[in-house]
Amino acid sequence: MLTVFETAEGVRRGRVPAEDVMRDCLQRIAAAAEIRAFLHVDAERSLAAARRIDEACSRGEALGPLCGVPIAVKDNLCTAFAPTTCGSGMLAGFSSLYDAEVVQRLERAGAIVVGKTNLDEFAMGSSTENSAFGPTRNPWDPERVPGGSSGGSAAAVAARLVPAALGSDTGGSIRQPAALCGVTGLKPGYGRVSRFGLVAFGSSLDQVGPITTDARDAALLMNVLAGPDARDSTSAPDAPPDYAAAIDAPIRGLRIGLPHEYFGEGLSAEVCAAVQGAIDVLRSLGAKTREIALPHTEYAAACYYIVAPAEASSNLARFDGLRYGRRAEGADLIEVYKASRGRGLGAEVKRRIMIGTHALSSGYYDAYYDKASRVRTLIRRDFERAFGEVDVIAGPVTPTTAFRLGEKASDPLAMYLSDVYTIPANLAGICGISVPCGFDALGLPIGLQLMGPVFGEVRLLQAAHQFQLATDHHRRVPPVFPATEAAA
Amino acid sequence: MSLTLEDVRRVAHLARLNLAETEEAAYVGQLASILDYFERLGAAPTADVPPTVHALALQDVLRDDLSRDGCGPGLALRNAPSADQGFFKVPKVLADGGA
Repeated sequence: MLTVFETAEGVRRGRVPAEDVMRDCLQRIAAAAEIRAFLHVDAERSLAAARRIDEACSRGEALGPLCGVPIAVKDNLCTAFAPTTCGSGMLAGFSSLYDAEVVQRLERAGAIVVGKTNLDEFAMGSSTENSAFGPTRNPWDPERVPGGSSGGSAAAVAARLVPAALGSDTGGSIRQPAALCGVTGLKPGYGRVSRFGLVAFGSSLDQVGPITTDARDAALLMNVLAGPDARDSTSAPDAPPDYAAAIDAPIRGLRIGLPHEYFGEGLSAEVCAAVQGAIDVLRSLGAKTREIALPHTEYAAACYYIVAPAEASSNLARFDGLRYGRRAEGADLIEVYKASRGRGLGAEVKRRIMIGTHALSSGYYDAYYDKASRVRTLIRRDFERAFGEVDVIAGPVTPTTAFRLGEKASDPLAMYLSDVYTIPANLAGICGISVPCGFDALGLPIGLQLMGPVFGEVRLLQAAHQFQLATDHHRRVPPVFPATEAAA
Repeated sequence: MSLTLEDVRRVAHLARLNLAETEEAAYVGQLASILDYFERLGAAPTADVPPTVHALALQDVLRDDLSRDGCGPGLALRNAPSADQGFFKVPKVLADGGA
């Protein structure tokens, strides 16, 4: 499997037909059906799009920066040409009326959206076990979870079924599965990428971003994805930088902060050692490290699991069985709502709606939602203070490597705490990237997390790229899915 | 903090969720342990700290007020569980005799 960079270069120069790339991709997806990375694949549409690109190429027409690149899209991003289920029984059979802005941008740039990937229902979960259509399996060990909620996208890139995928990250849902699957996942700063057509979970936290094999490919995708969108009033008005052009800059003198709160109790020794080793590599490349404090980190998970469910309970009120989705019978309107939602939504989604409704309800609002919103300010200020002293913050993405399917299914709180290192970035709106940095004794991938100020993605991508020039963790592929070159 | 079956039923009603008896029973314990975990926020010093409700300080984002094509009733009803004569068909909202 070629990278995004190699595919687009090869197609543009007429060296690799887009149709061959797509056939190879579709074959690999079919051969890996048992990991259930995809919920829907549109082979015919994808091949037709590839042929159109080859014809345009043979006519000498200008081709987009992602020409002929097959891309998988998380199934909470709306597509008019393919089902959009959000991994929920509520939306089985739902057909969106429009494409998400990011889907439109990818296809305008010549990329081909080959299919929709599996996820925890409505992006709520850390293992992709909460999909109504069955769990995705980790390509490195099919008995283990790929992480979540963008588990299908991360598994698809890890198994080299596609060179790139889109995920969404509300509390770590791009970075955590990227870490557990050994791929590169970027959560841009809040507002950098349009949320138009992303089915909303926590509107003040959600952000779309790329999952790729390396930082260069992430930069190529960001060049297409980033930038203001009039249809998303929370998208940042500033023009984004040219990520791809900036990525080669050296990192000599880069100031990296190491928050001791991210290296304490609960962090596995193997993950800690791999992350420390990665920081040594960054030092050897000229970065300067220093200890910093993010003193309110201990409150982040509790804060997040109030704020996100509160927003979710409001956002998911729209799934009432009236205009779309599954409608159940009931004696009156209220009973129709209750029966439709009770039957159509899964256990974790209902649990979060319950938490959020409770936290917003009269008599509890001050103790939960209001308190959490003030704690959120403390967490945001921690980062503002830290970024006055350092350019980038480094630490682990996850406390452990991939856990077993079912291991945390009956203990929601334990599942929530697998997000402790990724949640703070969403609360503060800052950017973060997960970069493969090693493997544990079982051969399971480990991720290094780099965090930067709200729109500091360029620095993260530069640091990740220099790290990947000096290491080869990101080149390793799961033994059962050896990478093959597209027929050239 | 303890949570009763009644609490779970009250919240489920507010959230417009029918829960099976087994779900109600499971949520009593699970939600109680999650709410217990939230108690740690009590120690965070927030007396003079304003709330953050959004990550960006954007205000009044406007775009030009131009007419655009809509999707039309046919497409809008594409996913309707029940439709009739170009409308979504829903259960009666008002009781007989009006209210």
